[in-house]
Amino acid sequence: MSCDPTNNKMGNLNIEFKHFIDDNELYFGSDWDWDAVWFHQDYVNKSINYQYNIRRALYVLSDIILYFEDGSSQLLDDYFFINTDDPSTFYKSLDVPGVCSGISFRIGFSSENNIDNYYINDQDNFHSLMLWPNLNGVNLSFQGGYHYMKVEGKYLEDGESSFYNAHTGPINAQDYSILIDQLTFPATSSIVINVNLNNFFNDPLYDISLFGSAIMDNVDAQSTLSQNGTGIFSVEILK
Amino acid sequence: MILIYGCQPFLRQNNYDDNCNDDNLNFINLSYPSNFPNMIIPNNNPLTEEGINLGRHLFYDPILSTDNTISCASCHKQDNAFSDPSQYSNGVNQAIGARNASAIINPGWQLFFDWDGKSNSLEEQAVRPIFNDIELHNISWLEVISRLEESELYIELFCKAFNETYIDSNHIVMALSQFQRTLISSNSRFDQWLNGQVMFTQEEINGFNIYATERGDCFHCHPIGLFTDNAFHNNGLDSEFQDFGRYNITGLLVDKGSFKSPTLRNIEFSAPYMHDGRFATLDDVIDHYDFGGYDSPTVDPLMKYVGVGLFLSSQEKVDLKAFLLTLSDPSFINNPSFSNPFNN
Repeated sequence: MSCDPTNNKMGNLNIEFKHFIDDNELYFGSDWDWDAVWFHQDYVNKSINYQYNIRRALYVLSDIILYFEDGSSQLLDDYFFINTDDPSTFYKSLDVPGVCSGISFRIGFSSENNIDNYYINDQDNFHSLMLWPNLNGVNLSFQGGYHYMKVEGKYLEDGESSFYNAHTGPINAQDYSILIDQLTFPATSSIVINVNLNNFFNDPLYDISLFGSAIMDNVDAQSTLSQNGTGIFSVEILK
Repeated sequence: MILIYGCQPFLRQNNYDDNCNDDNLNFINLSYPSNFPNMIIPNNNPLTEEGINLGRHLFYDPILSTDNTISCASCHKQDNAFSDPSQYSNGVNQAIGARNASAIINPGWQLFFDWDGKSNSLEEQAVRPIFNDIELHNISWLEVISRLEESELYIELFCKAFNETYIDSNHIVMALSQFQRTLISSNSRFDQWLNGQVMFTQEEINGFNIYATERGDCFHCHPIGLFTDNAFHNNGLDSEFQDFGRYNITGLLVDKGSFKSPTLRNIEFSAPYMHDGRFATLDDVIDHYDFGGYDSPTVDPLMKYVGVGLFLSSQEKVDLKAFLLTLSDPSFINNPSFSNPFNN
């Protein structure tokens, strides 16, 4: 189903990632007072009904497939790393053999591609920031590879703020990555992928307070988050 | 405005026009473990035996300070993993710094230098202390080069390293950087355990399990391998800041009170700890994280037990410390290739 390389019409696909909590766009890296901004606006996880903020989000999109207006498709041999501490990672530019009209991907890496130290020389400090621990047999829950996603911040419950770290990755060699179905759009060379981070937590319910601040070895928490692929990503085109 | 130092090299043609056209530079390929990334080496500053040797001499020689009293090694001592056992270091005229001198361990993999990351490369970093008032206190490259030009030793070493009949400010920086890139530590007990050469004690195993899981959660900022994430964090040292750290560089409010995660390799040798050297011992450091740290608007979410604490048991603290001590690499602090060449 891949493109015919003998009939390549080279073009570009420029992608910008924007982040939201529902309708509220997040401007990471901007010069603002995080507590004052976040906790005084209505950024509420509606299913849980308490406020939370997102201080940073880092995530991997792999198994990226581009779909073209002529019906062909192409599996990229690269992945996207988005780090809200580094807004330069919000922009991706691809050489493509046609005009794109769709994209699908996986949040995180499949087990097949989540190999210890495999991405050690990749750009944007990916390896150091996303390494999933390998305890060398001391603790079989952690056998290395890379985080899929790290979403971190504070939540308010009964007037008290606490930190949460929603870090996902493979536990006990189990794959909790999330496949995202094709997002379609009118054929174009520039798209914006809007990421509603709130929906990491909403369908099904992920209760930050219930699961606690640290969930890397919590199978129930990982399983719940792995089912939350719906409604996170949407595409708009730039004209 | 007078440009004292900057991107343009300062050089002065000299009278010594002996042949420096020996093209037989001995290029060096450093070896390091497979769980280290490729070292960052600029294309215009490949490592050579001659450049490293020059850099080693410059590193240890007080000739780089304005009054010939202070060298790089005055504050970056090999016995202490190239850090300073004093909380603050003395520069020229007994000037005292405001931060603890960073350890120099595996700098060839660092993306940022100094506690606040004000330098983005070894070459950039090497310039700063030469002109810092509280360090080597020079005013211009001219005065530095003038002192070096009076030394037959350096005329010869620069000739061998860079094939030039003049001393160039860029070459000073390049040689210092080359030497520092050789300061590789990868032969700790932990490395040997990973390679199956030694067995861990039960305390060390337990400590590793605390370190590399969210029980202790040390690994996010100090991931296995280089034991630094090459990033900046406010680790809850203060609720109000005397030193704004990374904020001084970026101007972003979110960076207030953030400092670079240092490597934990050789942490046994590099006391005192934190950017201001406030903790004298590893036990103090473990107690800080066990306490959870102080809250502030910019405290890092990875410090998720702020105000709560880790509640490590006494035995867990012993275990964690036992693991941290496995990161010691005696062959690093005793490596004769890294030692003071003037003592040989």
